[in-house]
Amino acid sequence: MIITVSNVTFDYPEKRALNQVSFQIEQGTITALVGPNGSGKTTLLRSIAALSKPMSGEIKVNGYDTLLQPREVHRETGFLQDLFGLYDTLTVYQCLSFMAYSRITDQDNVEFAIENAIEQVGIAGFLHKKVGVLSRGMRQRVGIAAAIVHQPNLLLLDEPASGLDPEARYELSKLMVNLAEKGMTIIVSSHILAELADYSTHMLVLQDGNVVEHKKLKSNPISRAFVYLEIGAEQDLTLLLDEIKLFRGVTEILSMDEKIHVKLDTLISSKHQFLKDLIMGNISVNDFSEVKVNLQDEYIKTVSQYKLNKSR
Amino acid sequence: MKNILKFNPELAKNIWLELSPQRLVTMPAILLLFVFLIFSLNSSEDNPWETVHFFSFYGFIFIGILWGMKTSSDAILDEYNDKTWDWQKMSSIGPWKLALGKLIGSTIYNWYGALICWGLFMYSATYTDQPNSELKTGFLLVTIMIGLHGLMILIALQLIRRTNASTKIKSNRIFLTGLLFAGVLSSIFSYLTFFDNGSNIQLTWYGLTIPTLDFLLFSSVVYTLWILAGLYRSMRTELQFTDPPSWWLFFLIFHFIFQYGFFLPIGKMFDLSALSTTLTLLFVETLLLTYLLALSENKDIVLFRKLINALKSYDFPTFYKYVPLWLITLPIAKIVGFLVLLFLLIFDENQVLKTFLKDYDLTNKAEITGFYFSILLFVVRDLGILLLLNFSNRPQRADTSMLVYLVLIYLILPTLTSGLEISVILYPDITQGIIPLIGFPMVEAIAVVYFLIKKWQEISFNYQQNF
Repeated sequence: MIITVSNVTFDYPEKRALNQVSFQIEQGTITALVGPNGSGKTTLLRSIAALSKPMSGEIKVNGYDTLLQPREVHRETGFLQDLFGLYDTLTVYQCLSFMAYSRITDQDNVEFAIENAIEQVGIAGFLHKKVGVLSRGMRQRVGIAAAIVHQPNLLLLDEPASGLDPEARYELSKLMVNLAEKGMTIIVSSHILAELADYSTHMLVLQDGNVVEHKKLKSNPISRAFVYLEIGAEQDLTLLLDEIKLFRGVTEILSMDEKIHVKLDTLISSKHQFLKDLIMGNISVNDFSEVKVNLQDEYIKTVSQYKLNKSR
Repeated sequence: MKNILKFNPELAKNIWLELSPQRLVTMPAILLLFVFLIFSLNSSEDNPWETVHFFSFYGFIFIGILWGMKTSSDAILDEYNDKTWDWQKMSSIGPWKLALGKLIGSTIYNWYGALICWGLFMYSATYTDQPNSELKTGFLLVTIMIGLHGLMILIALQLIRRTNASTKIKSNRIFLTGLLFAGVLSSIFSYLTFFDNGSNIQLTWYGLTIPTLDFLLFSSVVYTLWILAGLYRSMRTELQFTDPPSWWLFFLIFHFIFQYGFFLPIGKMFDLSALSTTLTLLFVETLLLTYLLALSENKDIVLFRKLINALKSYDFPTFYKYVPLWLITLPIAKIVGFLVLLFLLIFDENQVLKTFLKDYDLTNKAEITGFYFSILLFVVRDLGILLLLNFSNRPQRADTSMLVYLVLIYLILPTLTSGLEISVILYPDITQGIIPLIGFPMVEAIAVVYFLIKKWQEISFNYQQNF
């Protein structure tokens, strides 16, 4: 586990921001930290980054305690705040050089690390522009480059997509997947759930300072991509289950509401191939459609359940 | 530039931010134009270098000290407001490098202009009547510049620590505080050097007779070093190192020893009267510092809950991490006050009190003891009110309200009610007899502590209710 959060309570003078929060996050995952404004997302990210100190509880990042070893935690972590925190009058290259030299202790590797960060986030084209003249999307890329220049194991992004145009959001999604592919663990907070769904492997829902859900969304968005299919057939569905689960690419199968629900690994098979397999297997398919399972639905379901439980 | 980046990235960043070719040309151009004007407008009888000397002195003060004070406080506040301070806090730069990078780097353009003025000042000093003392003044200016810039950064760091992360801070308040301090300092310096020039009065310190200017230079260097030490410690706190507040204690001990030297008669290293006078002075200073620090440091309820939790679990590193300096200074003030009381009771020795309370019989030991406890009880009352205001639902203006309250209690009300003999309700008044002297502040302190406990319970209950 790269992050272990145990019974963390964080109080502000006027309110409790986090209440006995506990969870664990695995290496190489992308966790969508979701919740309404004021639910404690930023406080949680700042506490994991060892920038804010909780009232009680323990947070460990790669084995380092955020209270006892904050400097070690900082070495392990890159943190990009919602306003990106950049020096507007410096050029992109100056900004990155400053961040790199102030974060990397082994000075022989600094130039390589800068080049690496530039390549990873794709900002080579505007290195000599002043940060202040960049678009929000470009600034965000520079911010991410600055946050990962010391090659941290953990990247924390607080509302990185707010204010970005659709193209920049798409680019951000690609970047997240690339970084996770290289072994980085990422936590992204946002209240815009649509774009988180594209690349998150896990969802952590905060509501009123409580963790109300922490679940796996996809096993690995980089190497695996799944589609959820709904199949109707003339035959007895319960008999078909055993037969269909042996088809290529089927990872999960269940019968519900007069339909068979299949989770298909598209790296092994495809929708087209799977339908062909069904027909070749003499299954009388009378309905075949993809079901979109998105983060928004999961989130709303979770929050509704939480509110229902709370009202009881 | 790469070498500077390797040596101190913070300094390199500030060079990028502050020095542009245009700015590098503008500063010497304006200053040299000024010198040229002085030479061209100078009448044949006067030595133009004396005029250059005069203007370069004020040029240094304006560009180096005053403008530099504003720049150095902005250096921290801009980082905080633009959300770049967290990058700094997460960096692997050490506290010394960061402190020096901020101190020298943020004011590098001021240093650039100030050093040109300084060069002119030092060169033109040779044309003045007293070149030696002018050269010493030159070094004094540099020391004061470093000290005041360091102080501004210290105050700015103090301010960001007590401010909510979402609030933007303006540097005006810090700059005005710095100006006030610089004003007091320059008044003291002018007063002392006036005597030095006018009647050649020299200072006696630990039996040594030292020319005033030399002593000012020495003390400026020493206190500037203390400011730099404070800056280092403050940066350590920002970079999340945990330290016991030992340096603050060392500073107070040093300050005591430094002041003791002024009251020591020539040829003696120990003197009861000097000791008593220094202790009395330290008592007043630590009390004032307690109020000043309490007004400026973070006082939110979460901090006190963390402190209490740390104490309950004997977690002293955490306690040291969070404990505000006023909570350290208050017990020191109490101890020093108690020593003053002992000196008065046992040795009947206190020139300061005897001077200030010359109409009062200081041999009445009960009333002298009562006076000491009265002071402590009024301090409890005032600090209790300060905490109550800060624990309220709208703590934003708590410290300003407290300042108004202090002016009202200790200045306006005593003036307005001077004939009514109610001073003993407001502040420690030894002339009113032992019972009111102790009784009134005790009732007030107990009332404030009672309300404080009630407020604490109310807030704790609210936290539990929320979850």
